[in-house]
Amino acid sequence: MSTSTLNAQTKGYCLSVAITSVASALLVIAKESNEGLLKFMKTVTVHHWVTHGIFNLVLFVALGMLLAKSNNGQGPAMDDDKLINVTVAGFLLGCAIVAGFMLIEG
Amino acid sequence: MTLAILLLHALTGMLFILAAGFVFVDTLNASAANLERIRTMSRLVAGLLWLTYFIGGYWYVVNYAPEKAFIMKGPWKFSHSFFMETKEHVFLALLLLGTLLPIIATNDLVTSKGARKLMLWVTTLLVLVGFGMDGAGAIISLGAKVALLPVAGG
Repeated sequence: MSTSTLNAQTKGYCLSVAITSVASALLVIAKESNEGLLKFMKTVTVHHWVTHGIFNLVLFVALGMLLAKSNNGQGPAMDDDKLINVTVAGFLLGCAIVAGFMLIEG
Repeated sequence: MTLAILLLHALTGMLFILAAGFVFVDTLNASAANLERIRTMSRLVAGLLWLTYFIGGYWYVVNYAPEKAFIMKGPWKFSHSFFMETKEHVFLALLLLGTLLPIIATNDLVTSKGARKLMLWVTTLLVLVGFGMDGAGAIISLGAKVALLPVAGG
């Protein structure tokens, strides 16, 4: 039984930040390792980085909306401390993956 | 004009860090009296972060290529290959974290300990990673500068 004091929108978008941060970092590795993907992302908009930003924004909004509506509109069944841990860890993991990859491959 | 855009990017970046620090302190003292101010300032943090993104993004997409070419010919290649590459991609996640702030502020921060704790974590990350972005920007600028300096003894 979750004992969250946070509203559904907050819970949904917190998890969305965590998931999108990691997904964004994995997309960095994928596009930097795959010339075809990088070229494709360059053709979608004026710059692969712009395409990357749009991908992140769409994923963030879509996941946030879906997760906020989950669990009969109450948002993910998770207590506050666990949600905070997942949000912070997801964001930091995303940053660490990007920095680590650039340190090795840059 | 190009340098003015870059300076504006740094300025709005510093302002978002200051505003996030303000929200952190106000959240420590959350009460009915400052709840609306926290919500307004949270929206300001997100707004400044998006402004920083659009200004910096415009400069990066339109003007950075020649500077990158200089950096890659100079002694501080890492200022692009590590610092710029990391900064441009971590910023995308930071933008989402900043967007989360006004959403968290819709909770009742006076009664919800969890909401206050979440606000404190998010503003702390915004300030610390924001300072990291600022430092990375300075290193990238220095990378271009040392690439353009005459070789010592030459």
